[in-house]
Formats: sequence, structure tokens, C-alpha cells
Amino acid sequence: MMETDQTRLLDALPGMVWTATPDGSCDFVNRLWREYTGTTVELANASGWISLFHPDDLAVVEAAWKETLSVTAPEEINVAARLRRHDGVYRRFNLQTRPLRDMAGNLIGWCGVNTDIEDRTRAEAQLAAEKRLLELVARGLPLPSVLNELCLLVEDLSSGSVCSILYVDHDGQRFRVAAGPNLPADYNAALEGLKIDPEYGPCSLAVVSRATIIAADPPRDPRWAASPWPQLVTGFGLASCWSAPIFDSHRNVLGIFAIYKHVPQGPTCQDEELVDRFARIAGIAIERTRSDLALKASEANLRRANHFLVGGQRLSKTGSFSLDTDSHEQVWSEENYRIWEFDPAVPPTMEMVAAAIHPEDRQQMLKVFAAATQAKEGLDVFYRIVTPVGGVKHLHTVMEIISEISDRVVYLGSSQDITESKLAEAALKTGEADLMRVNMYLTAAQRLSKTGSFTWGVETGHLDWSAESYRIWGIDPSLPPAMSMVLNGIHPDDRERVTAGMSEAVQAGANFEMVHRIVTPAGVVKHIRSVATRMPETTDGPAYFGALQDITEAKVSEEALKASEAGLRRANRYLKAAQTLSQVGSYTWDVDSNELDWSDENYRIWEVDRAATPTVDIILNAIHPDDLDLVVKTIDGARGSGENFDVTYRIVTPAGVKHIHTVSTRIPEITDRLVYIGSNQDVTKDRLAEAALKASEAKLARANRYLKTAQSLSQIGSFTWDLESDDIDWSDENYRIWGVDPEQPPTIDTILNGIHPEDLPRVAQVIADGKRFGADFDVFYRIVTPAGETKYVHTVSTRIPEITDRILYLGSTQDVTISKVAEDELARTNTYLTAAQRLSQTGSFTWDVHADEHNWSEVIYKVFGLEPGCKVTMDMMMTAIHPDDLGQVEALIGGAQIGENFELEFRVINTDGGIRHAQVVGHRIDQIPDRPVFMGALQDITARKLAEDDLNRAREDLAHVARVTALSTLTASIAHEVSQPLAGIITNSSTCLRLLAAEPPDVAGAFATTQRTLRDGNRASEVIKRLRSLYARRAPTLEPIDLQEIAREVFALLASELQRRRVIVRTAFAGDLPPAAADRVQIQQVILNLVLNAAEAMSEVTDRVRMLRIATRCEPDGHISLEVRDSGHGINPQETEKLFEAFRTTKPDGMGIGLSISRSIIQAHGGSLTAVPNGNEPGATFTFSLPCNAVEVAGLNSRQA
Amino acid sequence: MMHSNLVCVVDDDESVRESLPGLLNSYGFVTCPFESAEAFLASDELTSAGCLVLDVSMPGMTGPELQIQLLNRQIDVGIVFITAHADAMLEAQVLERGAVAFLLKPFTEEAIVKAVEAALGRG
Repeated sequence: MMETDQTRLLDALPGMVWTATPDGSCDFVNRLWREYTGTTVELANASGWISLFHPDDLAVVEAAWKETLSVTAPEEINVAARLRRHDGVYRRFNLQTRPLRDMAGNLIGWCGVNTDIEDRTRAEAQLAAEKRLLELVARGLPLPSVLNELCLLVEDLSSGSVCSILYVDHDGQRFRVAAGPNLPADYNAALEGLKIDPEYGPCSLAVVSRATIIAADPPRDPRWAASPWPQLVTGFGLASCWSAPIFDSHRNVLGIFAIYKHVPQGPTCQDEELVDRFARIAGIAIERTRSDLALKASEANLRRANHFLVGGQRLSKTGSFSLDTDSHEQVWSEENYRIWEFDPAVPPTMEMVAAAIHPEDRQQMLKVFAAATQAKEGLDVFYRIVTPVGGVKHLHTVMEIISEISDRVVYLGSSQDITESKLAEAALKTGEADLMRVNMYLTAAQRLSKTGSFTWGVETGHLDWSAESYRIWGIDPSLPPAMSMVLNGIHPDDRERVTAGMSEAVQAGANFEMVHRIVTPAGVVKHIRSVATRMPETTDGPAYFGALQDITEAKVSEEALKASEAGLRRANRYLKAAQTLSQVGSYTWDVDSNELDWSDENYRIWEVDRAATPTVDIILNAIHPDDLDLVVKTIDGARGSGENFDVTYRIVTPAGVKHIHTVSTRIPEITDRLVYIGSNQDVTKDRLAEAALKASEAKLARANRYLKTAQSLSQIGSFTWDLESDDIDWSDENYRIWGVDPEQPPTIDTILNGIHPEDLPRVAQVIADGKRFGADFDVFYRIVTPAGETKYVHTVSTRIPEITDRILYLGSTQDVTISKVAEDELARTNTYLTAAQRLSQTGSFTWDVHADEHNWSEVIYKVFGLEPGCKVTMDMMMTAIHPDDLGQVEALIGGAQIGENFELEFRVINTDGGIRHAQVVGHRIDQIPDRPVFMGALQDITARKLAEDDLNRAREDLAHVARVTALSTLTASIAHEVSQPLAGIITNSSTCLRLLAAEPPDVAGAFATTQRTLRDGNRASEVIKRLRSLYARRAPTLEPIDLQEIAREVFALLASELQRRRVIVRTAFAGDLPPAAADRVQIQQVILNLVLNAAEAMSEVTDRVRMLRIATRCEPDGHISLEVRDSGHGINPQETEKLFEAFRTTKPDGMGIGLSISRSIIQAHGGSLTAVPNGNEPGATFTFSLPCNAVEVAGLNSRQA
Repeated sequence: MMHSNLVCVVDDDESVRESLPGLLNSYGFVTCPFESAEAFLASDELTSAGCLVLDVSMPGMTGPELQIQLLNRQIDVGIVFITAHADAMLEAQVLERGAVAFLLKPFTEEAIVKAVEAALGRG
């Protein structure tokens, strides 16, 4: 029994204390014990105190108690178990029970202290759970597993709980189920993709309110009264839901952590803490995993970028690589290995790279590289490398630091093999003429590496541009790129095609590649190649990684090539007329595609229907069977070798057998494939004449003799050669060329011994072919004379077909040493020149200015109407030149005397009075430095000039039609202009008659009215005069004009038209405009056209004044200009040039030739006509300028005087 | 309202302003020339004119516009339109609004005199 004091003391203790008899019957409990259990010792003994324990812990407690009682000397026992509180809640206690003994050591009872360890246990469990979760996150376990584990742990910590984790979508619109291992699968399915709506349920509300939301009893909760959710959740046997938002470190809501209970209840303080804590852990897990993913994705992007560059850059012979300057780790693209010729299996090291750099460049390169890495800057260098097999390559390397990786310097770079351009550069530095072209190629080649890259998220619209991309688009790099910039930047003509192509690719999940134009904000039009590769593994919807390349230069040069091809075709057309006369047809032949393009004359020669497409088969079918082998062999040879050919053969046409002479030259500008341009000449007549002439050998010999004398002048030797008997007959000149004694008849050995050993096999082959096939030859080779002099000679030889019993050749050999040397210097340009000259029958010449020595080919003699071969002097030429061109020719001679190259068009008057037009080009021969000696070409361009005259006449006719058309729109106004004075005349005349008929006649009044009549008559006649000059058709004549005066005349004519159209005219004429030499009517036509266009452009304007401002001024360049500025609908700045295209009109009744003709008129005057939109107000301004050459004007004045 | 004998000629063309009053004067009409519709509207003759010989197309206010102005101000005056542009649509419009005649320049003496007489004799 306890003392009262002792009882009081025990009651005051903070722990639950009890005592019991040795058999275990409780005989005392302190106050705390009673308060906790809500019972007394008596009641506890009556109901069995054991019933206070949690059923799950009973077994443990009973076992411990039994074990204690069974031993004779029990020691202290410790056991943890849950005890029921008075309100039914169980809490965990540590039960510490000690035996009470008397002095003898006999058991006299038990004393126990129960310590509440509920809070501690819970905290420990939470801590363990948190630790475990963070470990899982740190170990990089996949996020779904981590979140699943989190749910299970919380369910373990808080019995009767079912956990759920939801993600919030990127757009914040919907939920995605992240975890919910013990939630019914159907409930999870209902949550998946659920729209976030705060009226729907607590999870949604938690997202929106960013706070924990407790739904203790949903069906009775007014917040969800209108929602189907309470029914849904209770349908799954769930009674309450506590939802906490999951935040990331930036307090963005990532998702929801929710605990469901099977009975309606709110959370305890501990529960609330639990929810918040684990929501936070879920946030850490999600954020951490996502940033890991982002890191991986960006690494993958980098790899992909490199991968892409491999493919893209192979085309431009550009290799790419990355270089980590800390670890010296390098990653190379395949192409880079190819360029350096390294084994792709061996990882490249800095040492390998340094060793491969050309010794002369190595030190410099290492220095530059070290400086760049130190300064953390990019690099752009040209240098040479020596490949493992000893080849030297020129490389261009560009390196940029990858900014994303900030803690160390990592370069991404590209190396381009520019050896070919370098070699070409070196080779061609000697030819000044070619240098420019090479530079152009070089520039284009270097620009190739200027490739920008981008990423594009299709759904997010997110764009990411490299610096180069910004440069290409011409956009300020500080602006974030947007799809609208891209779409606006695409050239309007390409926009539809590009967007269609992109959306097609997006839909198909495909990559895309396209070439299109863009217009930069500065208005620059660029050609762009975009290549985009779909990124497969992003979660943000479809995305592309791509590259874009500014191919404007390439496009421009492509267009230039096209233009030059077009130029050739034009030249071909151009030759037509001339060819018809000389019966020469021309063609082009693309060997790869076998495409042939024939001139009209060629169709005529082959007698093939013009509608037919010419083919090689058509040609082969027409060829004379005896010549077929020859032609087939020639064509096959050309296909294989790309060499030029010159062949004569027969064809069989409906009209009979024709002899055709074909000369063909490869077009050197087209390097990627073989394309020949050539001419076919119908030489039947010559051949027949030849046949007639050379039917007998006697006649032949005579012809040869004749040739001898003629050719000695032109240093051409001729010969006949019987290939079978080796009977050779040489002209004197031929002996001279070969340096052989004329007394010694030449033999085949003379020839073979004389030919330069290096050229001998080639010439022998030609001779052998001649023997076998009877082919003509046309061969350049070197000979070495017995005196040891090396000469370049050109031999052309033709078999005489009429002599059928043996193979007899007639030929000529020309000493071309001088021109050959020059040719070597200018090999590239000459190939083309030679072909062009042959085709256009251009004559060539050399001219020693100081010695007045001229060496002419036949065409030039023909142009000057001189006997071919005769000795020419400057005086002879000057007397033949048209007096109007003498001044320019004299200036040319003056320049030539000091060695200036020249180019001139001039006219020659022949003795029969005919005028020939010629164009001459002369280049000084550099090899003769001591005095000016020129070689050049002279082309007879009479036919072209006549054609141009025809063209000019046609243009004048068209201009006249345009003028009349423009005037016809003025009919009503002109009628008004005439009717006005006419009304006055008639009225005045009536008045006059009445005044005279009055009694007495009013003579003074009649006099006054008659004067008025006269004045009105004059006024009408002025109108008619002005009109007549515009309607008249006459050849254009230059005269000094006052631009303002003629403009005023036009306005006088247009006054009533402009009034009718409600156009207000303001003029600002410069006071002191000098006169210009121009055709008055044509310039008036231009002004008329511009003013009418301006009026037309303002016809729809109703909200502002239809203002037309005309201004004239003197330009700084000595031109005078007239400006027509309207306030109309304006013009598209991108399409101003199209305005000037013929037959382009926006007017329903216009012909569309007005502006086109106006521009050609102004250009013919040496001026320009331009159109620009008005800056910041509506309308457009058209301006034309005319040169005003005071000398020219003075000349016109004096001629008119 | 009484119609006076006053004929106002409104035309921007000087030769009409000089010649037409002379002819009409010789027929005994009193005339007064104006070079624009605005000038006529601002003048004292606005309410005293019995007939208006009115050019259709003028800079500023046109003849038909003046006709509408007069109708709005309820000024009743016989109008003879003269014009160098044949325009059937316009002719129908102005006649619909009460114009007496629509004469194309050049017109005959007889036509203009008859038209002016008709304008004055009306009402």
C-alpha cells in the first residue's frame, strides 16, 4: 500500500506510472495514467488491463509478460506497444517494467513507467523514409519508380492512407498520373488527362490556389456541390482527399501529392506535416530528374548536331569536330578524318594534329591556338597540312566556343579542304584575266562554311538560333527569334511553298530540306538552303534541329552560269542569220544526257523537220555508210576524252548526198559534264568544186603551186601526201617551216625525225588513223628543225575523196610558235576564244604599232574590202573608216601607241559604198615588252547591227503604238480641250454677225468679237499642234531640249484630264536646268506615261488629296532629273523592278508596255528610270534622269544653226 | 416668285465668259459672268438671277454640285448646263433635278438662245 504522500508524488510525475502485485494485478496507477486511458485501476483490472493495448501489439506484450513471470529472478523488461487513449486513439509507448524486491531479494511487486514515444517514432520513420527517397533520387532511379516508392512509404507511415501523385501539364491545363500504386486503376484512369478546374475537386483547387486543400467529406462539401467528383471518389470507396501542391525551387506548381482515406476525416497536425513534407520531397525528386533529363537532352542535341554536320558538310568538303581544351578530348566527323587522312579507328590527339600541320605553318598555328584558348575566343585560320602519304592540303578552319558548357573551354569547329581553290588560285595567278573568276570561286567556296543552325519546337513555337543564323536572317541577335520573324522574312513568292513544305514534313514526321529566298529587314534578298532533322525523343511535341546556309552567292553564280548558258544560246540564235548565208548550222551537245540543240540552219542542212527533237541517232542514220565508222569513232572519242573535234563526212538526205564539215569545242565553263558547242557547214559545193578542180592530178599540182605563192605570204606551207606510197610534195614555205633543204625531197622519215619526240606518238597515231580510215587531220604538235629550233606547228589535212584508188591528202602546215606560246599563257581563255572565233568567223590579227605591221586573217581583209594577203598600212585602214568613227579610231591608236588594250565598234565604207560594222578587241602581247604589239580579234558585226537596227525600228514602232494608246485614253479630255475654244469661236462669230446686221451696225463690237474669235482659233490650233507631234511617227532625233518646257507642254495637254480626275498638280522646277540632248517626243512620251500612271494610281483615293508633285533638279553627277510623286496606292518595294517588265499591267485596259518602253527610251538616252515607294506617306515616286553633256548639246546647236 | 431677266454665266473658261454674254446681250438679255460656282454663291446675283448658264466641269465645285446646293437652299432658277464632255448619265440626272437644258460645246446660237428663253419663261 502506498502512502498518500507517495501517491501524490507519483501523480505529479510527467510519465504514466503504475504498480502491480507479484502476480501482475495492478494495484496503483498515477493520475496521468488515468487521464490518458480514461479509466481507473479498478475498472482496468475488471476489464483486464491487457485490453488497453493495440490488438496488433497484444501478442508481443503478453509474450513478454509471460516470459517475465516464468523466470525465478526476472529483470527489468522493456517493450514498445500502442496503448489506447480515452478517445480511442492509439499511441506508441515504451513500457519499462521493473521488479520490486524486499531486502531479502523476494519479489514483492512490479513498478512500471510508460513513456509516450509516438511522436519520436513517427519522426524517425519519416526521417528514414525521406532519407530513402532522397537516396533513390540521387542514385538516378527512374522518376516513376521514385514516386511510386514515395507513395508506398507514406502509406506505410500513415495507416489507412492511399497516396497519389499527379503531374501538371506544361500548359497548366491538365493532370497526368505520375504515381498511385494503391489507388483503384479505374480511378487513376479517370485522373489521367483530367482538365484542371478548381470547381471539380481538391487537386485542381490546390493547383490554382497553390495551397493544401482538405476535402474531409466530399459529398457534403459545398465546394464540390456541382462537381461529379464526390460521387466518383466515393464510388471507389474513398471518403476523404487531402491535396498538396508540389512546387519546384522556383515555386512553380509541378503537380499534386494527395492522400485519400477510406473514412471521412480531416488530417491531424502530424498528417498535415506529413503531406507537406512529402509533397516537398516529390518536388525535389521531379525537379532533379527533369534537370538530369534536360542535361542528357542537351548532350544528345550536341551529338545530333555533330552528326548532322557530318552529312551536311560532306557536300562542302567540310569536316567538323569538337575539342575539349581541358581534357584535350576531340570528337571528329567522318569527313574530318577523310580530310586529314587519319585512321577513324584511332582517336585523334593534339600531338597528331600538330604533327600533321605543315612545318612552315606549325609554329604560327600553335601560337594562334594557344592565344585563342587563353582568351577563350573563336578561331578562323588558313593553314596547310601534310597528310600521312605526304600530300599537302590547304585547310580553312573555323572554331567557336560552345557557350552552354561554361565551366571549361570546349570548341566546336569545322575544317574545309580548300586545296583545289588554293591550287587553282596559284595556277591562275599568272593569268590576270582569270584571276577575277578564281577569286569569285574562292569567295563562294569560303562562304560555304557560313552555315547557321537552329532548333525549332513545332508546338511550343520555341526557336533557338546560332549567331550565324541571326547574321543570315539579318536580325538583331538580342531579339529572341520567333516563327513570325521566319515567316515574314521568307520571300513572298516562296512563302506559300515553304510553309506548305514545312507543315507537310511536320505532319509526316519527316525531315525537310528546301531552297528559298528570304528578305532581311534591311531589304536584302538572300537565297537560303534549310535542312532540318526531326528530333525523335523530345517530350515537348515535335521538334527539329537544322542548319541553314546562305547560298545567295552560289545562286547568283548559278544564275550567272545560266545567264552565260543563255548567252551562248542567244549567241547561237544570233548566228542564225549569218549562218543561213554561209550555210553553217550550229548546235550544242550535252554528252551525258545526249541532248542536242540545233540552230535553224542545222535543221535545214540535215533536212530534219524543225519540230523534231534532234538525237544522236538521227545524225548517225543520216550519215553516209562509208563515213559512219569515222563519225562513230569521233563521237565516241569526244564522249570519252572531252577533246574537241573537227571532222568532215557525208550525209544522205532526201535532197542527195551532202558533205558536212563539223567543228566542235567543249564549253570550258561547264566543268561538271561535257557539253560541246559546234558548227556544221554544208561544204558540198566546195567539195564538188574541189572535185571538179582536182579531178586530175595535173590540176591539183597547179592548185598547189597557186597555193604556194599565196601561202608564202601568210607563212603557211602546203603539201600533198600519198599515205601509201609515201609520195610527199611540199611547198617552198613548208620546207622553210621544217628547216629542211628544198633540194632534198621529203620522206616519211623527214617528217617523223622532225617531230618532237614527246609529240611523235600522238602524230603517228593521227597518221595511222589517216591510213586506216582516211580521216582528216587537224593536229598541233612541235617540230625540231635540223638547226635545233623548236617550233609549234598546226597541220590541217583532208583526204581528197575523189581520188579513190589511193589515199591522197592535201594539207597545210602553219608555224604557230608565237601564238602557241601566247596560248600556253592564256590556255583557259583561249580554248573558248578559239571556238567562239571559229563559230562566229571572227578574224584575228597581230599589230606591231610602231612598225605599222599588220598580220590579218581573211575575215579582216573582207571587212576592209581589201585583197586578202596584201600589205596593209594604217593609212589604208584610215581611208576606209567611216568619217564619223575616225575620231574614236584615232583615240584608239593613240592609246595603243602607249600600250593600252582596246575595244571598239566602228564602221568601214567599202569601195562599193557598202557600210560594214566591225568590233575589234586588242590585247597587248606581254611577251614583247619593248614595244606595243597587239593580238586581237575583229568581228564583222554588220549582220548584228542590221538586226539591231531592225530591233530599234520595231521598238520605235512599239513606242509609237504605246504613245497612241496612251493618247487614246485622253480622247475625252482632248475633245474638251478643242471644244472649249470652238464654243468661243462659234459664239463670237454669231455675236459678230448680229452686231454687223444691227441697224446701225456695231462695227467696234464686231471687231472686238472677231479678235476674240481669232484668239480662240489659235488656242484650238495649239492643242492640235501638240497632239500632232505626239501622234506623228518619225525617226528619233536628238536635239537640245529644255526638260521643263517640254514637261509644261505635256501638262497643258493633260490639264483637263487631270482636272477631270480631280488631281491637284504642284510643280517645283529648278530655276537653272541646263539643256539635255534628247528626243523631244520620246521624253514627252515618258512624262505623259508617268503622269497618267500617277493619276491612275490615285483614282481609288477618296480619303486624301490626290496630289501630284512634279520636281526637276540638277543631280550631282551632272544628270538632270524629273520626279513624279503621287499619293496613290503605292508600290511594293520588292516588286519595283517587275513594274518595268513588258506586258505587265495592273490596269484593266492597259497594254502594260508603258513603263517598259519608258525605261528603254530613258536608257537609250543614257539615263535611268527608277521607282520607289514614298517613305512615310502613301504613294510612289518615279524619277528619270538624263545626262546633260554640254559638248554634245553645243554640237547639236551648231548643226542646227 | 418673279423671274428677272438676269442671265448669270458660270464657266471657268475665259473664252466662254467673254463670248457668251456678248451674244446674249445682243438678244437683249442682261448678263453677268462668274468664273466659279463659289463666286456665284457668294454674289448678290444669287437670288436675283432668272437663268443660270452653268458649265459642268470646273475646278472646285462643279456645275451639278451647284445645282444641288441651289435646290437645298430652295433657290429656284432655270439652269442651262453647258459642257465639253458628252455624258448621257449626268444629263439625265441634272434634267431629273429640273435643269432646263444640257448643251454640248460648241453649241449653236439658236440652241443657247432657245434654252435661255425657256429658262426665263418658266413658271
